[in-house]
Amino acid sequence: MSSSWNDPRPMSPFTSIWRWHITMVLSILHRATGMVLGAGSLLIVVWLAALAAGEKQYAHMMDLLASWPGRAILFGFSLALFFHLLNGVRYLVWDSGHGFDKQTANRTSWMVLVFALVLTLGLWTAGYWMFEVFPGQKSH
Amino acid sequence: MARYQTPRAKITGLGAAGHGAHHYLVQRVTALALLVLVPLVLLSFLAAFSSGYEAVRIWVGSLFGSITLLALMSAMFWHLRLGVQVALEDYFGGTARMLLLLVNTFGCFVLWLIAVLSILRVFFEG
Repeated sequence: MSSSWNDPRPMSPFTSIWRWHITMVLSILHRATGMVLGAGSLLIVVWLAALAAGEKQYAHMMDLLASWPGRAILFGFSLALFFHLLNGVRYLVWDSGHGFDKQTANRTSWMVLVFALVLTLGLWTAGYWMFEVFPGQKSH
Repeated sequence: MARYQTPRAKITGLGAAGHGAHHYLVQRVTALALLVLVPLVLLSFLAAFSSGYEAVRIWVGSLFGSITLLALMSAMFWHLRLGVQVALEDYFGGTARMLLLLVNTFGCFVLWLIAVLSILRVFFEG
């Protein structure tokens, strides 16, 4: 195997020659959301460090998260998380040798997309109205 | 060693140090762990978040909370490292690949360390 990319053939995932179809979109989204979650892991670590550092640092971190850009990032993170989690289950089922035929794979693709959205909206509904997750939320 | 391998072991065991399927398996084992840990931590957090700093520290510092969080951080960064590694190997070659793989490994390790130390600090400070 050559270590330099001078091969003129198209590289994975062949977006330039394949007709777009749903299983392909989900495969690409799985990798993309994986990268998003990787970036988000930085946020988790900073949050944990702030919690360990003390009340002032934690309050500052929570203010950042509760700001509108912060909430938008958290919303995107939760959507990516649920998508990656559900699609990951689909891959585990495939690994067990089930659901790999075209019709099932197409159907579960849409199921993953719908349930990812439902779970994300469910989490935010619960966070907002049941638990009032953000500090000082009522004053907003 | 190699001459005692059966032909089957020879083709299935190809790869670094003779563990061709090792990363594949670890990626799936950590996936299973995350499948349990992520919903568990999400639900616990949702409940603790609203009560503010003290409540969150009590949850993170509890035996159950710290163990689930430590397990989550470990499974998460191991899973992340393997996933990013596969992506890097797909898109980069040569020196760039080697350097990015090192950044990936060290980056995940350092982030995991900071997370673990933060959790342990809350656990021991009570």
